[in-house]
Formats: sequence, structure tokens, C-alpha cells
Amino acid sequence: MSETDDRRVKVLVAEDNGLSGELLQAVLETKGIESELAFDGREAVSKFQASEPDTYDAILMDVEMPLMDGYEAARTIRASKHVQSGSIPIIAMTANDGIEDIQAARANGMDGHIAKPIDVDRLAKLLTRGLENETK
Amino acid sequence: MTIKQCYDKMGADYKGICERFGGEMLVVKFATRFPEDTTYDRLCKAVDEADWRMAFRLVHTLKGVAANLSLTHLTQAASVMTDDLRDGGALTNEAIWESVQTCYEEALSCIREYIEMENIHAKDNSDSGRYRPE
Repeated sequence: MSETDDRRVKVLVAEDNGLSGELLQAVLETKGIESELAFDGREAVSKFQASEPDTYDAILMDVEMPLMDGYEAARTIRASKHVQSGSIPIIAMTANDGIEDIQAARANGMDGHIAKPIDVDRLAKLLTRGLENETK
Repeated sequence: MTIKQCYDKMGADYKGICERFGGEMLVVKFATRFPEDTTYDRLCKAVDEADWRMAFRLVHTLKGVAANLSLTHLTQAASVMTDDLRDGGALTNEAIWESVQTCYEEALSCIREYIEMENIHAKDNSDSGRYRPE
């Protein structure tokens, strides 16, 4: 996610609710962030694993999803053979913002946590300025 | 009726959502699609069938949808029910579910009234093909 990169930041959004997913895409678009939706953890893993390197700059992962929840999806991505498996930032999105949610996200290989309703400005900062200093 | 009046009527956070969405346009676009969302109907079915694990997942989703749309009362009611079902057990108090029902119906009624008064058609307000009803 270099600031000198000419292309737009692109994120993979894993969100099982269609309305919430599209809403998030629309507000990301207002910040110039491109996104692609996956409707459950399994689809998110599939899309990531099938992607060319650097297709996605980050993954926004809902936690409560059918078929495969966000935690399992994050662990699966981290264990995959994709060239970005260890480096792609994964941000958990939950309806809660308790310390246990933040700890659970980290314990499952995620880099950050953001609570719903999503603060788009904060999220945009996370995505465009790098996760390292913003989420720790 | 304006979307602000609609939000005021249902006790929702108009100022907050406009700040998050960067204006009113997206508020209108997505609030008017709230009636399309099937999460509540599926939650009713799960509660009827005492499928508490499914009910937990669905009320958690409903809480997220409501929070994203700044539907304050529904967010709070769904949050209480989510916490009550979190441990996997049955609902401990029927009043918790009744509160979710009341808040949902209140929000739905206000938004439908706004849609009718403004003569908004869902098909005019969605990106065709991208929305996948659950």
C-alpha cells in the first residue's frame, strides 16, 4: 500500500449481509477505495487464494458469517500458500468493540479491529496509511 | 417528509449517519432499502422454532444492519438480545424479543411511510444485480 502507488487501494470485503456489504462498498467508494464482496468466510478464502499477488491491499472480515466465520477464514488465509498469506492486513469487523473482540481478532491472525457502525474515516486511514501504527 | 424527519420520527441518529456517509445521498439510498432486508423475517422464524444458535447469528446481523443505518433504538434492542443469546442458550426473557419486534416495526413503519410519501421505488434505488437478498 505504498502512497506512491498510482492504482487505487482495493480491499476484499467479507460480509454476509447484502445490504451491509453494499453499504460498506458505497462508503469506501466515497474515499476512493475499490472493493470486492465475498458473502461468507469460505468465499473470502477462495477469492483470496485465487487472486493474483497484490490484487487486494487488505481484507475486511466480518466475524459472524455462515459456512465459515471470520476467525476461521483469517486462520485459513494465514496458513495458505498465497504469496501474501502472511502479509496482507486483515481487519475484523464486528458489532462489538470490547477488549475480548480485539484480542480474539489478534489471536486469530488479524491485524486490526473496527466496530460497526464503521467509522469510514478511521477505516480509510487504516487502509491508506498502513496498519502498523493505527491498530496497535 | 424528508429523510431527516423520518430519522427524527423513529428516534434514529440522522446527524451521525450523515457524518459517517458524508452527506444525505447515501442515507436515502440505503435506508430505503432496509425493508428489503430479510434478516428480521428469518430471525422471527428462528425464534418461533427455538433455534437459538441461528437466532443469535441473525440478531447479531440485524444489530449490524441497524447500526450501519444508525437506527438507534433497534441497534440497542438487538444488542441486548445478542448478549442474551451469546452463550448459546435459550432467550431468558420474552420482553427482550418483544423489544426487538417493537423497534423493528417502528423503524420499518417510518421508513415505509417515507418511501411512500417520496414515491421511491426500490428498483430505482439499487444497483441492479449486485444486491443478493439473503
